[in-house]
Amino acid sequence: MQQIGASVHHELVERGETVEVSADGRMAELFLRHGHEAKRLAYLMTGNMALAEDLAQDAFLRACGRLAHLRDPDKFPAYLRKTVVNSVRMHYRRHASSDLPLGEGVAAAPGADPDAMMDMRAALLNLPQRQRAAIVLRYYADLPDDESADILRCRRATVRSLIARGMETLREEMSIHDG
Amino acid sequence: MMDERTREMLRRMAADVPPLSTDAAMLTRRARRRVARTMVSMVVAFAVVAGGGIVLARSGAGRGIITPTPVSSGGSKGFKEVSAPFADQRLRCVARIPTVLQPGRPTGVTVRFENVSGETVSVVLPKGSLDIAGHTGPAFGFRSGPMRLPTMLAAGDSMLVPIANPTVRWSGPLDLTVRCESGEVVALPSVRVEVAVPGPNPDRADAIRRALSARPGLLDRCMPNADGSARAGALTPPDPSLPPLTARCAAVVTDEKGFAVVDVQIVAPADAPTVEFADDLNQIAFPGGDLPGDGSIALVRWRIIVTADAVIDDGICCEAAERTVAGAIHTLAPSVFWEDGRWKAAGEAACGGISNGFTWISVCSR
Repeated sequence: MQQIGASVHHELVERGETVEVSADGRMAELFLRHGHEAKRLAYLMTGNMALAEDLAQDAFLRACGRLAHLRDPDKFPAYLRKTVVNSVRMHYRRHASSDLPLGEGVAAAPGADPDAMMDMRAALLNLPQRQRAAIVLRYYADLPDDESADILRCRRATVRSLIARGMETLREEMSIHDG
Repeated sequence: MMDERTREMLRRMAADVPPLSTDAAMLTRRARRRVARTMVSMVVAFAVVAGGGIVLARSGAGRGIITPTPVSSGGSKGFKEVSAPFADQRLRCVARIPTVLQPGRPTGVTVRFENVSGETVSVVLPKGSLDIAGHTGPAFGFRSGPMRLPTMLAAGDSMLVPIANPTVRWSGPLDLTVRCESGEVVALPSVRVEVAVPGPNPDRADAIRRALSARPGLLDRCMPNADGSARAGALTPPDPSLPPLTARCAAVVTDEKGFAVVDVQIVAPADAPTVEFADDLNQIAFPGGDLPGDGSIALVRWRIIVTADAVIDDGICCEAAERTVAGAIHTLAPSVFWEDGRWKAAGEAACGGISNGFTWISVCSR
């Protein structure tokens, strides 16, 4: 029987997950290594924890379903990231609410100025979906613009434009807050 | 500077995100459908990554729910077992169901897969789901248990499969139908069970009073009227530094045989639009659901079983649905939950809080 690695096993126990520790090692590792990051990305793009959970699960299952078709398995994280962004985009398209502010709030981190945090978060979530995605990919995922362009299915110049416009809006919002 | 500020904010937001759950109950209907659709390709994928020497259970995804033949049944005293082969006869799904359920307690249904193939089988995303139907129609519909990762099951071995285990809050007789899932779905024959009758039904007003006193403190300033009708008031958070949250509080009593179900329903803020509590708040909790109006709103419910001489609320608490509108989020609101027999504030208790099923009151004042 194939066993998952000790570190993965330990992590499962630490997290108290109801996953089978004698599970197929491949998917267990993929899940543990990348599942959380997928959810974080979905959350930053939607601001809604329940929706992020749903979209990340959706993307993970879809990405796993394509495993056999990936020439380079090391590309799985990138493929998963792309699938998350696509899932978010498809969600907004279906619900025709790409510009609607979403979100359920998040506790301000200790030491942060709660008002500033909330203002900035609200401003981010009020951005059009593609601007928000471009900003998250650059400033959170640290992706180069050409990779973001691939994910967002647009030209590199368009990514830069999306980021510039989004950041301009954020800057304006924050200058109001900073008074 | 703005770049760094943005980076820092995103990092902090991401740090508050809990790990991705393996609980399939968190999946929406859309995602659950995707689980079924992706089974075929996942099996192919696992065949590639798992290598040779392992016999894969062929997926039947796309064929829908299959009719099992043959079916065996039996069971030890107090239980009934039903089973059926599936996955091309390589696995047998066995459900063990108590013949008498206890009000206020989980059903106690268990499901296991047995490898009857003589070879190791890869069991893909094994899980069970449960339908409960009462004499007046469906009572609990098709809920999956937590999803598990693919498992290699050696010849002759068996494994327990997660299944939703709802608290019993319906009179008998009930028809329980277990579905076993692993690439394909097999529905086991329904089993009729009884529900214990603890004694005479409690008086309704007394049931409300006793149910509410089981969770003291929070509703002191928002106590439903004696007849259960709603009363506007305020919720008092456990942390005195937090502001109270206005709310409407009601208690709806349903008489069952020998017990009452007190459904405590809270809507916050108090001036939120009128809203009907669906039997399953998950139906209205997700985006695109039916929460009324366009402002921030939180619906909270807990169902408490009350008999003539006992109050049972184990495992029934804390269903919630909420929508928090960004842009009007400067007012802190209580975000509290019930744990270890007392109310606690959640995290920083900032507006919105964390709402992954644990925080049950959390709404922003506009």
